[in-house]
Amino acid sequence: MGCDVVVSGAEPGRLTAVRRLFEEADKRFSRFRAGSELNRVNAAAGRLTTVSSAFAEMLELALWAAQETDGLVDPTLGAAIEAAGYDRDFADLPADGPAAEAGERGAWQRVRLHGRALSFPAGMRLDLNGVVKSDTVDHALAVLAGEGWVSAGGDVAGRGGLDVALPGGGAVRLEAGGLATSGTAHRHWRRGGVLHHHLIDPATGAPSAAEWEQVTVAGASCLDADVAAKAAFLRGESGPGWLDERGLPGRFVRSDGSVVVNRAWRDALDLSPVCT
Amino acid sequence: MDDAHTTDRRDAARGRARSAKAGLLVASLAVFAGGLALTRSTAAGHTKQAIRPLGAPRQFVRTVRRNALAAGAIAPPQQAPPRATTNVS
Repeated sequence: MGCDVVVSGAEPGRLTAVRRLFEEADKRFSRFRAGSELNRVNAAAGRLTTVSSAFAEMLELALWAAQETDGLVDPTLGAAIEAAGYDRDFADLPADGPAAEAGERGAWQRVRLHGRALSFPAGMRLDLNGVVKSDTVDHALAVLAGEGWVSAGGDVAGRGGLDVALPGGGAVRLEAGGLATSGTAHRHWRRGGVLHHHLIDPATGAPSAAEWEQVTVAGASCLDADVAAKAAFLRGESGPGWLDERGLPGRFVRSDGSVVVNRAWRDALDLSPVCT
Repeated sequence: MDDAHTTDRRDAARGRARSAKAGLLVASLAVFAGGLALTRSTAAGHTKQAIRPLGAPRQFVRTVRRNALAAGAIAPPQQAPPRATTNVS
């Protein structure tokens, strides 16, 4: 998955099971493995194809995420992210390259999934990475017997209480559920001298111009936290309020380092507002 | 001649006996299956559907999972330094 996975509280046997979970998810859903099921499915765009039950379940989750976020976390942006220049493993991306063009806009409503039968328009490319990593973290936590936690590239799920360092400084205790951060601080690259990142705005098919650098959300699961963090990032200025409408605590960091927390975050930590 | 006639009658009798046995077998199987079906559909305590393993039904699990995005529980930190980090990957 191109990120470090850290597990705490696992016996050796369960650690092996967790490792296998991440390896299988990477083999199945990687955009950069020639033999992955995702690439096989994308090659069949425009035709009816049968997918594995694991793929169907993950795609169902991705479509659910799209529905819950009004289409902001969209699984049909594979072509757009490639058009933006993210077309190989992040470590192999060149420092710069030809100017990128906007890709296809999001169209998750055009994906048809009935059981394991899948069809979507020709030219569309699925990218399920919006949900794969965090869902795998949740599954990995379920493998652990007692208290413990799992972190994959900064997406954390824990049981039993865990202090987690936050972007830009500070920490928070995760009592239950998951904590995830989305943003542009790490995964960015240049095309035609312009900085690009992997958070694509489905309305334009191009990297989002949102004002945030990093958004952290606490969710009932790591999946909830991750989906909400991406959506809140892409919503820009209205992100904190959108999270508050759902009772989700969120913390937003701008590129100048200033931090904004929403009401739910403040209430959870019993913080008094600095100004009203 | 008499011997041949006796043999023919014996073979015919054996044939009729085989048919009767087969008929009886089919009839008893039908009665058993019918009785089983009637018992399953009427007798209290008999399972009327295929047995499923205990646990939440798949549809229920999916529905719960698809529930709206929900908040996690956070609180002020209690340890220094923190054991984990959340950041963009």
